[in-house]
Amino acid sequence: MPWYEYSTTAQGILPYVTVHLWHGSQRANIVALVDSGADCSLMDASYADLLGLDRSEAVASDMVTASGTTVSVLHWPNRPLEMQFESDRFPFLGKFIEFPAGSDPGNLVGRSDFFQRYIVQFWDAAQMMNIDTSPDFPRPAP
Amino acid sequence: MVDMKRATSRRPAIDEKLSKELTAYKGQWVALHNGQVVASGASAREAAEAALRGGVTDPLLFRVAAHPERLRV
Repeated sequence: MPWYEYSTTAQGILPYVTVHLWHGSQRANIVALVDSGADCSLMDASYADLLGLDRSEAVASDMVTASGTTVSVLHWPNRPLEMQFESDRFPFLGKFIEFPAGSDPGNLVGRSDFFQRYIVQFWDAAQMMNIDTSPDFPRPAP
Repeated sequence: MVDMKRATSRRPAIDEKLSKELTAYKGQWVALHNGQVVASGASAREAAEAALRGGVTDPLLFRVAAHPERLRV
């Protein structure tokens, strides 16, 4: 896979990628930070609504973030959720965050799924990253 | 070597021009298409529906940070 340029944001120049979340035939297109420090991928819970996921069926838990804030997270272990990066589609093992009022939501792709699938080389000096398929998985068709 | 990689690299998800445009949408959800804001709203659904009314059926959706100076959660 090619190199990916970091994105320019108001929070700085950061390694964002475009990914897609699928629930059956419903799709949400998302910009997410590539975060090797995140145990799992975390998406704003608003995307769950867009994907037609019923919050009353979600498994809810609390999570303490790196900044010390406690947030509610939701996941749907019995729903066929998938993440797509480029043409590669694979199970989404992350969760959805209900951000507290006044906070700034962000999306992360983390270690439970994205970093299982890809080897990521961050090259901060050049503001680029290389994202390559792990040898454990077949390479997607070009 | 960097230039060769950059020449073949994928463009950023958010480029500098778009980043400047997004400063007008702090705290809002935006719908993007072809690297431009095509709609905005108070929720993801609202932005998606506004984009659909403008003929964009499959936008990229995200919420623009209201306080980018703060640390991310």
